[in-house]
Amino acid sequence: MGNPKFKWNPAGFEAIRRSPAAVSLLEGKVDAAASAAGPGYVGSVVQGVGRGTLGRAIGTVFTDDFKAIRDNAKNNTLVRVFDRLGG
Amino acid sequence: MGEVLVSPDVEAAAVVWLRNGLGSLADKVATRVPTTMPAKMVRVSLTGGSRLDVATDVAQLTVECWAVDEPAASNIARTAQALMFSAAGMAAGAVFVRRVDSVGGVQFFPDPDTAKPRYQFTVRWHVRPASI
Repeated sequence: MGNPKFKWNPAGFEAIRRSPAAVSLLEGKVDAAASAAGPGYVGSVVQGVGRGTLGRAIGTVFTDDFKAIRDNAKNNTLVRVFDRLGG
Repeated sequence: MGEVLVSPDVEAAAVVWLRNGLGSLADKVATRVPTTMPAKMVRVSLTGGSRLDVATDVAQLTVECWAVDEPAASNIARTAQALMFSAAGMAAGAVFVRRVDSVGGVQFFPDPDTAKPRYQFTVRWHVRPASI
């Protein structure tokens, strides 16, 4: 019985990082977190620039108006919805 | 009915843990800020978490630290963070902390409701739920 050999497939990783399925999954998590945070919180997903992990899709949730900024400063709202990002 | 496993009160455990560790560095360590905030205040809040598996509850704790100026508040926060990390493998009161993860490091996070500077950080304590 021969020894099994493991071979990395970097191109496969690159394809997953840029796949519509991965972006869609991230968009779902970001939207759920923004909705849970409440009005004035917005989610965004952008594709990173560069090769390797630099090129992965990046999801963010942020405050988009003064009321949300104040709410987050007072209640730590973004920290409380962090779990929804699967972080 | 299957076994009922209750998450421990990690807020209370963390409050006592920090109160003992910080000593005179903080005037008050609690889960609620009193109407008149003391000069050096630390608030512990359970801000999330999950049941990782049958034997592990992950509790996300955010620790806010206020003082009269930035260096003092930063010092309290950095010391409190070190104390929270030091709980790994230790019993914080009745709560055994198996592991500690960092979620967010110490950061300056101005408080809109007070003129006092605030620094805060967030960690996760992995603890064991109790059977009832």
